[in-house]
Amino acid sequence: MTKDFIKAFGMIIRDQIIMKNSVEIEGLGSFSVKHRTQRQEKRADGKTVMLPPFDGIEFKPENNVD
Amino acid sequence: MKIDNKKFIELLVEATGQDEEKVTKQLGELITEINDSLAQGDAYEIEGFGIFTKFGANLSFLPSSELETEINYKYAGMKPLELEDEVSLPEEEAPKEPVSSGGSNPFAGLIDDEDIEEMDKMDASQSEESDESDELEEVEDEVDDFITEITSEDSEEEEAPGPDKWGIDTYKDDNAENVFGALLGDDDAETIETNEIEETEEDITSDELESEDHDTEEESVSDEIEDLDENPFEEISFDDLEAGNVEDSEETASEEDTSSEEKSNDDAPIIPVITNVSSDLPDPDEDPFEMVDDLEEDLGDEKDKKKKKGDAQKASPLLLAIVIIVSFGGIGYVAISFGFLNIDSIPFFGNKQEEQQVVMLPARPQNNANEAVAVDNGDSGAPGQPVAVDNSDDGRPGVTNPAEQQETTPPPPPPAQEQVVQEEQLSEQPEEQTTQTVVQEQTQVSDEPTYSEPINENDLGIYGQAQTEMSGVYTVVLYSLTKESNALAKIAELEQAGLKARLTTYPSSTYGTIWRVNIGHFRTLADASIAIYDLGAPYSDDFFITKL
Repeated sequence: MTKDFIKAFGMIIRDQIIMKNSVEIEGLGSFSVKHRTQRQEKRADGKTVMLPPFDGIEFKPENNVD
Repeated sequence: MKIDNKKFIELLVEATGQDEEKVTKQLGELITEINDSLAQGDAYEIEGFGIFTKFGANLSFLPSSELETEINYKYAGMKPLELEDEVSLPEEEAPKEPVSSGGSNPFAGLIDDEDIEEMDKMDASQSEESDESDELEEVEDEVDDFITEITSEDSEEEEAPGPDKWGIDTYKDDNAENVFGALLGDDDAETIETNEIEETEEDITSDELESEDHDTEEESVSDEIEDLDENPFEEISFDDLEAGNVEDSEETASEEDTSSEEKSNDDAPIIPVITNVSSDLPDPDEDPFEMVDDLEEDLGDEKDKKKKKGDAQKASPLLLAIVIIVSFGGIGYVAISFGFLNIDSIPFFGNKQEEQQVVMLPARPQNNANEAVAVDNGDSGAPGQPVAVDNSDDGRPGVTNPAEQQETTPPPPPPAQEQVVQEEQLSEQPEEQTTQTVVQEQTQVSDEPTYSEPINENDLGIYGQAQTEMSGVYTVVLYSLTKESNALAKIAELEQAGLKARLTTYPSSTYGTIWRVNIGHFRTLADASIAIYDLGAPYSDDFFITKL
């Protein structure tokens, strides 16, 4: 397991996530993108802010992973 | 699209340049290593990618900040926008769950802060007005018969949209109208009286009628007074009022007004309405009190009839009723005349936005000169100008009239006229809030279609040619690209589709310059989101809105 491989591993998942693809890895789980649109949020100090949109990465572990 | 294990390995092979067997082996090693360390209770970190860890029995993945930033490169530089006014946007409107695409209410939470402000202002002022008009209309309902009889004017009857319990209505029961109706010989009231007669099968003196009516009124007012069966109005200390009002009713209208105010100070239940409305009486020299005099004459007749029938006791409620009716008459008149204003003022508030937009004109780039002139012409030709003449006492004729005169002169060189426009528009804005009559004038003026359309068509919207200098407007970002050539290709593609495409750049410290392909210019966030959703796929699949 080389360092290049680890780097490629992360890079590929990242690229696929950016392209809105989900990546499934046997034995580990699947990565998918979860987009959150911009939205308003009321903060504790009473200010209302408009939060920018955001792409989150969502990881779902495989069932057999314990 | 889903990348399964097989395809993932293909991609790994491509990326590392190693053969598939080797890659598969390494991937298996990695997964085992991750699972091993998790089994030992450790977290496993892949540098620059994230951490696999276990929360309880659940394996979870925490992306590293680098990964988070990179997958969000499209939104680089976007920071939480603080909205100026937190206002009344209900919690439910903000989408709680992430709306991926085309949710039930995709525009919720996207309403612009300016919009919200305006809406808030509108709500506040409208609710004030509607409250007031509620009162007025309720009063109007009561006095409506009298007014139509006496003045034979067209009274605009509006459905009172507000709550039932408001102002005088809080204390109003069904017989309340009949109190006055009976005293004035109103038809409905008479039928009810006769019903009562039939029910009770007694000789009817006006005493009994009145006392019955008062009973019902009292019940709603207070329980204590209920015990005082006879002539409760006297008990509630209306003596002063009567005395004052007897004089007043013979005197001038303005005194009438003040007397009704005085009376309202003493009288508990009916006060608020009377004070509110009469304090809102706009012009003392306006007509209503001529009508009030007529009213008094008619009422005088009624009074005479009643006096023939009754004794001294009934004089006090009668006088009270007369005073109330007279003041209601005045109020009703005002309600009618101002009812129009209140009703028309709803479109006014819509126009107020246009007004503000128009006022933006002078600040805009020079190439809007023609539009400004167009606006100018529309303004000078507006029909509403004469309305303002009587209200020009508030200092505005010195400002606007010279401007109007200049406008009406044959078209001078455009730049000079444009300045006039600017002056006039600037001077118009503070006037808006002066009086309601001016408000009406403004409404009529801004009804001119030339007022706002040029702005909308040329500068705003999603179709057409983009104004590259425009700023302070919202736009929809469709693509964020790292190469200018790609971005220009996208722009050309969008322009071919007739869309208002524009290229902006964002200097990102992480990714260098990001070329953003925007479409459309919008005044508000909500406009932008509506437009992009109307545009549909593929554009509405992935976008975000930002301010230029």
